[in-house]
Amino acid sequence: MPNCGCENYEQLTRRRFLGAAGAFGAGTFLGLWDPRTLLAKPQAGAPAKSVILLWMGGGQSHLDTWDPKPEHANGGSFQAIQTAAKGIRVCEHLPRLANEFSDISIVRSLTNKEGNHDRATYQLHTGRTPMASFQHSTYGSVAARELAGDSPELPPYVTINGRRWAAGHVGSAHAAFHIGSATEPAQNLSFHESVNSNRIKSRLNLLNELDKSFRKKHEREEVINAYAEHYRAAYRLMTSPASRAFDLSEEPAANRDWYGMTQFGQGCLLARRLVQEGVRFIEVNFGGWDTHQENFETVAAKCLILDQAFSSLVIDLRARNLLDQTLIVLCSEFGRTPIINKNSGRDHWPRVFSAVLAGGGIIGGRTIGASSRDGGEVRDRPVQVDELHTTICHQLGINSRKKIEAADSRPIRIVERRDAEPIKELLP
Amino acid sequence: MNRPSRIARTTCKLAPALVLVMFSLVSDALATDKRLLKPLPAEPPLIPKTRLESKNPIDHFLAAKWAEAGVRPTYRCDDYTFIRRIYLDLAGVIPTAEAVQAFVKSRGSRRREQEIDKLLESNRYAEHWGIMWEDLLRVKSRLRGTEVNSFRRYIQEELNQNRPYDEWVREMIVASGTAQDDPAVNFVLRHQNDANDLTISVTQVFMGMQLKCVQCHDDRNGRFWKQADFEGMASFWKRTRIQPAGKKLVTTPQGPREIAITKVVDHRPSDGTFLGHGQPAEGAGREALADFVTSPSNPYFARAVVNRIWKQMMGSGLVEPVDDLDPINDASHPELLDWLALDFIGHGYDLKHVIRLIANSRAYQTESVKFRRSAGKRADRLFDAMPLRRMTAEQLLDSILVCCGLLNDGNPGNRRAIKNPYPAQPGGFLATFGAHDRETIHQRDPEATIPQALELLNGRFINLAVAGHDGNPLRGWLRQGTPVNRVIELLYLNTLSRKPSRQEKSVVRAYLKQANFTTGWSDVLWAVINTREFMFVR
Repeated sequence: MPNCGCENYEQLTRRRFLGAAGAFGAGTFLGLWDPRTLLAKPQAGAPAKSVILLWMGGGQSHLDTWDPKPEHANGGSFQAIQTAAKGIRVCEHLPRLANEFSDISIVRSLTNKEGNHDRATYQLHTGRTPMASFQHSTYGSVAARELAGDSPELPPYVTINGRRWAAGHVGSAHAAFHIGSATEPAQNLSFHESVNSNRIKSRLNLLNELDKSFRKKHEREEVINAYAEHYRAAYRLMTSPASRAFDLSEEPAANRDWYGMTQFGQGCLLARRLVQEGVRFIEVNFGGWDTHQENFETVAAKCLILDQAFSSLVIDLRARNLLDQTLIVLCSEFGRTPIINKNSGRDHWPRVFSAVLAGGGIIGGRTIGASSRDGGEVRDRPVQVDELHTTICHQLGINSRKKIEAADSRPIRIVERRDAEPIKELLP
Repeated sequence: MNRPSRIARTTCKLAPALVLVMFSLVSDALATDKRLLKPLPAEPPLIPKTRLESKNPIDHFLAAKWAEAGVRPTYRCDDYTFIRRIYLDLAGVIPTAEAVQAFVKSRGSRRREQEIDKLLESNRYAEHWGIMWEDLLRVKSRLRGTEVNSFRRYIQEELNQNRPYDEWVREMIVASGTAQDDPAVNFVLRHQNDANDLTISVTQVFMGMQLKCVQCHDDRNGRFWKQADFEGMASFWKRTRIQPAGKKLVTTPQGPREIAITKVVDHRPSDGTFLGHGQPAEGAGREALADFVTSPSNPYFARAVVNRIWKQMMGSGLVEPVDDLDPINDASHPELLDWLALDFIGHGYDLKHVIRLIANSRAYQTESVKFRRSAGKRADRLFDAMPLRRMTAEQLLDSILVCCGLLNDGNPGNRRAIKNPYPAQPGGFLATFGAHDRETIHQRDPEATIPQALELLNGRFINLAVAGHDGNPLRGWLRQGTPVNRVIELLYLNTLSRKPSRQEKSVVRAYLKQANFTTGWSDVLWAVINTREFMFVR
């Protein structure tokens, strides 16, 4: 059976111009977003339907954001401000977010060993250390595989800005749909002015005929088949009204401004629109936290953007009754050194750093664990990276102990450590 | 005959012992370090004698393994496949219909060889291979204190003139002054003079070593490099500074503008230690580092670059990943790698020579169909069949521009890839197809994605390209009243570099019958460009 589904888009058109319908057999949609095989599988009783991961790329300084130490020399020049949750203080550059802390909790004792950007980013996304020979999937791809999305037309896993992740062991059907620029997310989704739906269909039918001999010759090549899947998915996106979710111009201008007219701000707004359409996992990337130099100027400037976008996202989701079913996770590949270096910067520090969680059925207004007075060590309740991953799985209703068979037949457990537990302090 | 004197006799007796001691000292220095690759052999490895008919040594090294594994290479590809493949690999673009026809019609036993030489002498060679070097050196269009265009021009020039690779690398490591004085200084400027970053580039790009982990901690992956080893190498850069060097008037599209320029100076020569050589080189400075890196006795330098070239042309490296040359990471064909490295050194570090040698091999010219083997999995990296490789973003862009007659370097929408600013604009054509971000040193990810399908299915660029604009060769052919069958043939030659099959011709004719005349032809061009066959180097 041909692996490309293009021939199925409109059999009638093809019959019309070829007049040889019988010769092509009856194809079926296979793979990506097949409405029959990829119906949404909401997990009964799971608190969260969607996850929004706010990724602070480069290593966000935990001491100058979520875990301020104004009383210690390591704390630097920033002041701490009181949040809406009693006893929780954050950096003075997060004032709007501070008001929303009834729904937000901070894990202040995340701890890890990896201080290299690439390796740590990989680990925080996949739960594994990188191997030259094997690509692990991100938890976004795992969620896409395990749960699919609510909409058969929209991709279940969307990444916005930043890095494009390979699909990894769960297979290319569950790869992230990557949007390179949040301010122009709807690229190529509506028909180009020179074509209409009929013309596209007849083009696709022609393509399918002309592509046949090559596809047959190389039918065992996975990448050739992946394109077939992606062409099908692309067509569904183009023709589905659901893809309007990607069109930020539908959003009132005041709303766009409220999130901030920045890549990150618009990315958060886009994430909210996608959550409304039942997209399962969205990552919004906000890079540039690698503050080896001029840490304080940089962090203050970035917090301005973060504060606006993150707080608007929380308020907006809450107002739409979506916050309870949407787990927001903010984290970074590592924290930064407590000691300020000679360039008034901070270097990489995986030993203790913070993650922030909101919505999705977790308890807000709490801190979990604590770092030492100087900010350098875990003082209380170390939280491993895989506990964070297990928490995400738990809230989505994914069994973190399940094994997924990779293409080379290797069984890969969703969370590697069998006895990793969700962070129970966050659970009601 | 006089009897030798006592002293002489004693010396004679001692000599073997002395030689032994000295030898062991030397080999100690080289092999003390089990963490280092074995030095290149003094003599090139013997070329295996095989039954394969080929004058190219590469083929015999590979054939020996084919025999061992009990496989036979796929047959030699036909002229149509060859001309497309060699254009894409050496010039980064598909050939036009004329070029295909001219080549296929040409006669003589050295036609392929001549075509290879012709392409290596064209400017397209430097434009295509320049992309790889720009990726490795992470050349960016916007970066404080660097004059990107001078860095790009410099790389182009080095490649075009085929300057010996060791000289080129040495030049970049030792350069001082402003980019105007010496464009090689852009290498240091690109790294913003970060000693660690420079060390990563020197070891990973030029020596194919993975040391980024030991930048922060001793290695735990069984390779045993220490953080101190890294710091020793990094010390060579510790006294190099970037200083302001006045202002310069540049012309920009918005008119003339003054920009601040910088220069690289050494406060005084740095000390450092060479990887695996323990001894500090006191005050030896960047010159000594350049000597060490480019020395013929450096076991990494030549191997790393021939391995990169091999991967570029054959789909995967003799060592994979290409920047992980390490004693515990075996090459698929260690003797071939050594032979190529020594041959490269013997030919004065001539990059084109290596490319030419590979391109002329029977192995490079194998058909991309794999034999169906009955038993089990095929062994990896035998190079018995050319793997399919998806075109890079740049190859794809340039090929569409060429076959649609849209190429115009003066127009930002239609300029060839190398004329674009890098890193590529997010969400744009190049970025969508995986153009390098020039942030970290990494291999590109050739993965298929949905936005790629959207771009080719429905993108503005593709729709404009296939439309009936003046440059579209279809227009010319049709205007001249060329018969339909011949136009189909030309269209195929101009895109897939081959003639259409009878079946394909009849599909196209049937399509045209039911479609509007002009839009029908555009649709055919669109469909051919959207075939997998177009997108892959086969």
